[in-house]
Amino acid sequence: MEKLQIYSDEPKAPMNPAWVNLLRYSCRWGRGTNNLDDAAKAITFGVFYQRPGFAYPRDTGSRWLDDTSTPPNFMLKAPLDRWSAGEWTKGNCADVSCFTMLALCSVGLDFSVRQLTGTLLPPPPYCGRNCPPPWEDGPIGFHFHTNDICSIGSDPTVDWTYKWWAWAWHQVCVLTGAPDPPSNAAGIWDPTAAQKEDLNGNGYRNPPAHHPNHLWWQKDYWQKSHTQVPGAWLGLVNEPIQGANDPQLYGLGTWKCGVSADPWIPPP
Amino acid sequence: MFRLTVIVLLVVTLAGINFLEGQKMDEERLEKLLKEFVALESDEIPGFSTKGGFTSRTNTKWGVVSLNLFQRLRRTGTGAIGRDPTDILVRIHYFPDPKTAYEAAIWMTWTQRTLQPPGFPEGSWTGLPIGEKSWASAPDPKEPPAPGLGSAVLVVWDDKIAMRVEVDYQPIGGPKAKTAIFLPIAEEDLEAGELAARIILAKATLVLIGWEQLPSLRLVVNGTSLRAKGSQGSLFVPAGLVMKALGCEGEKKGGIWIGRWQGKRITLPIGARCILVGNWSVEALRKGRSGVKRIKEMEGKVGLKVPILYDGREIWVEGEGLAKALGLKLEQKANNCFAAKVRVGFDDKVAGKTMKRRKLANH
Repeated sequence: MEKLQIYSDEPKAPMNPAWVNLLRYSCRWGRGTNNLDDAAKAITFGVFYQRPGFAYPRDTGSRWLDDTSTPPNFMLKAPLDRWSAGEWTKGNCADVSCFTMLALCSVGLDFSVRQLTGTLLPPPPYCGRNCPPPWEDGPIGFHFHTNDICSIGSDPTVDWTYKWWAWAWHQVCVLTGAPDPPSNAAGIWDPTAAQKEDLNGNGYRNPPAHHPNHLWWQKDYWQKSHTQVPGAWLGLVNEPIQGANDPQLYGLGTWKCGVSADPWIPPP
Repeated sequence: MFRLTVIVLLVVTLAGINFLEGQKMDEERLEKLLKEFVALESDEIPGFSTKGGFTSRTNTKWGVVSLNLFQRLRRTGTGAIGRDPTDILVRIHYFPDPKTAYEAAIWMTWTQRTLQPPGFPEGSWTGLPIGEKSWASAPDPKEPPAPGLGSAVLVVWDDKIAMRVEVDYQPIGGPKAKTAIFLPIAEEDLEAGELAARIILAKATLVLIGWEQLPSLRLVVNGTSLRAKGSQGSLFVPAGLVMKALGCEGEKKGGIWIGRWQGKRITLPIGARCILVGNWSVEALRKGRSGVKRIKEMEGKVGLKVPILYDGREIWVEGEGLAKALGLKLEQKANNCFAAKVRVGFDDKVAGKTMKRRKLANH
């Protein structure tokens, strides 16, 4: 019989009441932890390593957010149904961070998602590098180049899964009520991609998850490059060099998605 | 003789106001029709089965309610690793106005690469037009397996409809793979997905224009009796049958009908708002390294007010547009001028209208 541990508090909106079929995952991922740092990290890792789970799509588009509603609804039932049927689902940063937020909220950890951007490069071919990278497919406007990251759905223990991407923005999880950027005080939980090294340059190969052992502060997470630590290329953004006020909020800023059980994808 | 055929069609085309503006359908009936008529049936896309569609309503951020249809089509049992199963996932949203539908379609293309959508390039998977505008993503079908492949998206906007069709594979390593490695979507599966998009758009348009309520009329082309549909401003003719009666050979492949008329290629893509006249070619984007295609060169095209329709058997197109595509001189004459060659019988209220003599030079 599986032991379910509910953390710290009652489920948080929009996962109150929590869905049983989501709790099956979030409780399994968080099992054995007894504080917020450990639990949030374990659930972030749980989403990243879920098999079958999310796989980041080359077109970088969202699959599970209904953008016609305000706030966008996460169509939670559909991916859970597919995983139960032994099927993978595609998902970009907005999808996987919203899903992680819901998993965290389901066990009483009050998290939100945050859309970030910063100083950007001009569109190709004026941005340097051979951009867009051949593993991306589609038009690129103003954007930044990431460091090599291992996107969700791939094995971060092997080098060949690490690639750089051309993104204009990114969405991560933060504690609800965390200060806005450019404050350094918000932690980052980012299930979209693993990084080879933590912000101190130590071997890591896991998705960023704020923790006393790995301080993924918001500002440092965005870029801990030669501007801050000469010679080191750490954090998410590789280029351009970020300004003093980066990262900045983008789009919906810090927000909570809605949740829907509608049949976004009906059963086969 | 060809000319007379078209004359007959246009007589009715000119008969009145645009019926599209005048018709309204209650939402419940529309929802029912989306589910029962628009949703595809098993094997309507060859090899793909389905349990039907689901409908829902959404209070949207634009302050209006959208009616939605969701459907999954699945092909299994091919034994092809990485393509078994293949899903075609369809979402169609009907809005009260075209502007909102366009906005919604744009947001369906939102990616991490751009601050403002559209995040997909304009185009389609075959390169031929569909709807008023379409955007697509697709990896190069010739690419070796890799993470991030196994998915292609086509977003279409037409009038009050925003539609998203995705072709989706599972990774070749199965559900427990450490790294999900996917095949790129094969060209034939992209074509199947686009066929689904074309048929659904055509069927949805049939519902929205009140196809079943449109008066039928009988026309005879070169001795062949055919049925046309329409009234009050637009007349639709069964393109394949009319062309055949005119002596034009052609065939329907997937969602595209292609024939030759007086040495020129005539192309009718279901769901498109135009007829392509003469030769055309398509190109794959990203210097050929993408599954997204676009028209590269085209001799000519004739715009249409309504997408090319398909009722499950026949392709239907605006008579006026077809006449223009065929480059015929259009004339309207009194009934008795051509009664011996072409006879038109109206089944209902259009019957009995006097056709006055009038010349219409090429529109």
